[in-house]
Amino acid sequence: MTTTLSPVAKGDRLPESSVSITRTDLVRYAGASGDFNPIHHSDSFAREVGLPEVIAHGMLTMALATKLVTDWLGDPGRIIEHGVRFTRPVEVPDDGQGATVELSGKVADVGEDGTAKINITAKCADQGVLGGAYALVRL
Amino acid sequence: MPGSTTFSEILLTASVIGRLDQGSRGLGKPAPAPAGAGFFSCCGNLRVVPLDEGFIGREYPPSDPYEVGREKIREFAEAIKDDSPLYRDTEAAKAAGYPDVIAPPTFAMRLSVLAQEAVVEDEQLGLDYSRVVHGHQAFRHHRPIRAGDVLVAVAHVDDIKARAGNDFLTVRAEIGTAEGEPVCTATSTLVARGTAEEGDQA
Repeated sequence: MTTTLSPVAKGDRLPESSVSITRTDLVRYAGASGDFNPIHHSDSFAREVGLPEVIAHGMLTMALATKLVTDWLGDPGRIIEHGVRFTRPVEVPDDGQGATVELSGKVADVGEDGTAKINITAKCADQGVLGGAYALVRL
Repeated sequence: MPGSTTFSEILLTASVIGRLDQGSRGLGKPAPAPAGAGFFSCCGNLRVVPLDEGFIGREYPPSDPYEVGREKIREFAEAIKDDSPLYRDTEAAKAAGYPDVIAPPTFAMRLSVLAQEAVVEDEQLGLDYSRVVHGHQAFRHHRPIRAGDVLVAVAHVDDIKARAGNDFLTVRAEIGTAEGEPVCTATSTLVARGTAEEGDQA
C-alpha cells in the first residue's frame, strides 16, 4: 500500500528538519485550527499576561514534531500513537524572521510486531520546547 | 480576554491572567516548568476548592457532530507546512489505500477540544478555567480521520490528582464516527494551578 522502508534499527536517526515560524504562520494556524487566543498574534496582549512577546501555538509545535515522523514514514496513517509535554513556549519575534524550530528524531526501539518507537526532540534557540515527545509507528 | 471556546494555549493565557487576578507578585519571564507541569510551574497563594477525585470515571454526553471537509484538511495541512499529497489529492489518497484524503494526525485536536468543552462547563466539577494550562497531549489513532467523516467526541475523566499544589486533570476524548466506529483516542492533561490543598507555596 505504501513504500517500504529499508530495515530500521534502534539508534537510526530520522532526517532532521528546521522550520521557521513567522507571525504570518501563526495567523494561518489560528485560522486553520480555530485557536484565536491573542497571545499568538498580539504582543500587547502577550505582555499583559506576562509573556515577553507573541508565542507559537503548542499544538503547532506538536504538529511539526509529528510531521518529522510522517515525512519519514511516507504514510501518516502509520502513526499509531504519539504524545508530547508542553515544557517551554516558542517565542516568535515580529522581525520578519520569526522563530526557528529544530526537529530531530531517533529510533528508540523496534518491535517484533513491525512497530517502532521514535523519540523526538524539538528545540528553539537551543532549548527544548517539548518534553518526552514520542511516536509509536507501524513500519 | 480569551474566550472559552478554544483550548490549548488559551489555557496558558488564562493561567497567567489567573495570577494577575490574584494580585500576586509581578510577572516576570516564565520560569522553566518541571516535568509534567506545563509552561508555568509556579503557583499562587490562594487556596481554592480542589477538584473532587470522585469525578474520576465520569463520562460526558457526546459533542455535536463535526463534518470533516476536504478543504478544511487542506487548509490545516498548509498551516502546519505539510505538503503530503495524501492530505489534498484524492487520487493519491486512494492509491495509498484510503477512500478519500486523510487529515494530519494532530487535526484530531479539533474534536478533542469539542469534547473537553463539556468538562470545562461542568459546574459540579468546578474546574477553574482561568488557572488551567495544557500540560500534555497524546493521540492514539485507530484509523486516520478522512474527508467526509462525521465525527462525535465523548469526554471521560480518567484521572484527577494533586501534586505540588496543582490539580492534574486527565481528560480522554473518544472520537468516532456518528455510526460508532472508533477513530481516535485523544488524551489531554490539564493542569489547574494552585487549586490543590497541599504543598502550595509561592
